[in-house]
Amino acid sequence: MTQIKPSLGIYIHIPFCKSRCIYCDFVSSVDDCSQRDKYVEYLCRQIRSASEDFSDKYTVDTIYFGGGTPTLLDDKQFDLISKEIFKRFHCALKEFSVEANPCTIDREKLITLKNIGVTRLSIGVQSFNDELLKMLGRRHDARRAEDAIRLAVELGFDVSVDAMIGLPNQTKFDVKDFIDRADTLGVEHISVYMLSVEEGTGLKSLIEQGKLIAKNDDQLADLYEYACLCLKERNFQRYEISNFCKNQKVSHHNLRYWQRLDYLGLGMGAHSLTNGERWNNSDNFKDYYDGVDKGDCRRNIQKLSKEDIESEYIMLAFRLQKGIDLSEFNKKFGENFLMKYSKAIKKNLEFLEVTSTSVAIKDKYLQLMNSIIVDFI
Amino acid sequence: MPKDQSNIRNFCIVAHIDHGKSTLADCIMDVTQTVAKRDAKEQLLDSMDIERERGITIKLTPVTMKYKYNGEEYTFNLIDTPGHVDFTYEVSRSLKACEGAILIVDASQGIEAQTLTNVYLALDNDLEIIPVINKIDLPSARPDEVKAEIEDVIGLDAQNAPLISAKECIGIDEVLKQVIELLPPPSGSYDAPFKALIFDSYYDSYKGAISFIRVFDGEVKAGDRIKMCVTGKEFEVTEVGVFVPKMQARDTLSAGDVGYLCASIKNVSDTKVGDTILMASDKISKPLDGYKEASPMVFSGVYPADGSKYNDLKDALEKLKLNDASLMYEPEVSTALGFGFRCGFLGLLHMEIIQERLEREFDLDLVTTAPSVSYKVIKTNGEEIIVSNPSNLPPAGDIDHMEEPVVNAFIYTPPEYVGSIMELCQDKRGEFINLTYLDTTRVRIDYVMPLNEIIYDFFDTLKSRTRGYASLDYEIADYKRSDLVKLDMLLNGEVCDALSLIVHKDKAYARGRGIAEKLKDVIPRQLFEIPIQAAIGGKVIARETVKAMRKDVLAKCYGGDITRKKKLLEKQKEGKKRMRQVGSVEVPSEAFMSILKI
Repeated sequence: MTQIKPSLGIYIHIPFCKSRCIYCDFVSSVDDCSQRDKYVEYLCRQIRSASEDFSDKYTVDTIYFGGGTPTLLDDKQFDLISKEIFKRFHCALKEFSVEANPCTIDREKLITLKNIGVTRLSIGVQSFNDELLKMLGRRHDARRAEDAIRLAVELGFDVSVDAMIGLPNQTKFDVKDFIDRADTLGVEHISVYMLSVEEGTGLKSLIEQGKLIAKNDDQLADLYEYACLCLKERNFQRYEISNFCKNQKVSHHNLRYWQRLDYLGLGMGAHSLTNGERWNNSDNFKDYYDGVDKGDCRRNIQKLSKEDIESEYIMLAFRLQKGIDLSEFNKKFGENFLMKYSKAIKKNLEFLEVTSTSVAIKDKYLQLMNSIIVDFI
Repeated sequence: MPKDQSNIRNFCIVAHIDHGKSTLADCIMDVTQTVAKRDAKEQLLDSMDIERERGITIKLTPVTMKYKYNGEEYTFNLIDTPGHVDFTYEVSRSLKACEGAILIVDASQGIEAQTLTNVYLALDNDLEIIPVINKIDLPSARPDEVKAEIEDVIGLDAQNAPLISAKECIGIDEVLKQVIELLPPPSGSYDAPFKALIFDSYYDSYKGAISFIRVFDGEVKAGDRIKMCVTGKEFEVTEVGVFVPKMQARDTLSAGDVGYLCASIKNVSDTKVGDTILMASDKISKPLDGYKEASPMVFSGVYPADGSKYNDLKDALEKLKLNDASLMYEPEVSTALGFGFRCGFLGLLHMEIIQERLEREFDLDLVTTAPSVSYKVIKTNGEEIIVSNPSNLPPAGDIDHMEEPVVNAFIYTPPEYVGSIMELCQDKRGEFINLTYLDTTRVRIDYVMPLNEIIYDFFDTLKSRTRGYASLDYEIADYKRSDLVKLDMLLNGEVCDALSLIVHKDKAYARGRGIAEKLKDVIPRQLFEIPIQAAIGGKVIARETVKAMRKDVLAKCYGGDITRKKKLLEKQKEGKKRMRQVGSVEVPSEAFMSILKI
């Protein structure tokens, strides 16, 4: 009988977009397809060399293609990358997710993905209000998004959609409409993000120029709380601060991040956690290619101390609805969480749900998470 | 070598800020080849960074120069003077060390407010004054009108005033010629027993406290045993010398000389500004008159922003005190701010300078409380106590009445601002005493005013209401019975001792309201709602609310990148460490400072 190996999630970064959305500060480049073949080639090379280090230590149980816009890849490119992973790693997948843009999927594309083994699509819908979509610089309209969702559901994918809350001009009606429509279409997972206006984005400069009016913290919180309420009415469970699902359709890959389970990020700028080390790949093409050529494109390698791991564990576990599992904490760190953090717990008692088995932030205070967590780290 | 004072000239330069005092000093050093102009670190006499930045002189640095005129060699001692009301006493001591003064007036701006106070001080000290018109190279220069102004306003003959440009070093020889011809030489006696005035002091870690002196009579040399008249302490002189402008040792200093004296004095408070030095054996000579003990007027709590830096702050204060005898401090404990010091200063500028030096020279982050004056509290049992920290005020029931220090304030202004100034003084609880027309362009207004009104924003407001034309001088007069109350600020129901103030009853409401509003802006939203209340005794007179925080989250976590979140949380944690805990409320250090100007 073979020994059971620890599980691993693989993240593949596809840094291409047709156009940049005004709120985005992620690693992505707006390109004309010319780079893509080269990038896929290097990505495959990185998969090969990473497999030498990791393949015999782990069993891969989740794969996640993120971006950028992974669905900009053509069928052949997709096939190359997936085959490389399947060939080099031992996989027993419970989830294979791909981020998709409504404009870049059609029936053929989805059938291809299905055949490759993709089980879940995370569709970047953001809103069903055409004016808001236009303002954000998204290329799709509501109808297009609905068609894409319908198709994905029909073909048997688990479908997740992203919703953005707190956009300038966004109303409660928009929020409720989004959730109602998504639910009606058969979506079983919704990620709800509160808009944060990042430096250097188009959104930031439009706000600074006075062309858009940003919502203040109270308005943002009101709208987010309203979204939570609508989701609850539609029987979506909040299992993580910004993730809601029906029928236990959680994102297994994303849960790895919160549970501090190992994941391997491949591709430009991707982040990894393996064997108590965090690192990321170079985040520009030139350095990334050079790194792959030299056989190492890891940057910012951090060897985590026991204290680092503990505070990461707390910080991440508090994001989850179930919070910190006391016996798991004890097993991992050999200490009693309630005793060790009695002062912080006492100070924040009003905001915590403390039971004999767990400590979690009360649902209605999750939005205040940072202020609570700083007392624990 | 026969000694002769006839070739010595001791003088200072009097000017309004920006009229070119330091530039002229640099220029004179250049002409006399004391310091090449290109070597002068801009304005050499203002040696502290803070002085150079603010363009003001705090520390007096004298300089001795040689100049040949008509085949004779002259010795010039130029003594610079501070230009702020906090240091009026120091100015008067410097002036006392001189026989004459150069009055600089800007050729385009003419006489301005501040010039006058120092001119009058110079005249009070019987100094001969040479008016000089500066910046004649500017296109807007109007030398003839300015000459007439000098004659009209001050009553000095300005017909022969040199027209100069200190910046371009034009006309400097004429200034020096007049210094020689018009200023009297010193008139002390070589044969009389040694007598010298201390006009400043400085602490050197090798030589100890160094006295800056003007010798009036006799002579002093290394090995002499001297005594300080005020403290009665005796020392043996280890070195005497002059400033060129660096210290240069000499065998002796004698009548008429300006220089320094070292005597292994461990503490600057043993060499007090204004004190007289005599020979220890001299039982007959009388000290020079005019000595005044430097007494702090303004008090404030000074705390390290990081509580663990208490000892660093203590060391820093000890070191500053070595150099600044007028700085007073004693340990104090605040519930909100922890361990710190109650410090006493000559005035607001002095306070700002000390705080700035602590932060810059000693790399400390400080939290300071609102400035206070010292109040006299007469208790119901007849006991009388002095309180300079509002938290130390006895319970209201034990107080019979309170008295506050008042000053005689003299304001010089062009007549058009009289109305506005009187309104301001009235608003600051001033009691009108007198109004005198000095001439058609200048008025002097006398008020008796509570010191605690002057220490806030009086000076700034006065300047802004008069476009900078009015000048203020004041002297401490007395204590006066007053209807004073303690104003407390409550955060979430708890009194924050570091925010308490003693104010006049009529001002309490506005003050309390202003502070509450300000605190509402600077205290960040927290997990719970925070009521901010201003109260007198148990009575709340103003209330604001910091609403509970609604959102504090960074939800996006892209592709497992948690480093950004970690950094954000660590930053937040650092920020939290710098917060002061008042009951359950976290108060940023800035909050204590933000109320200073309300």
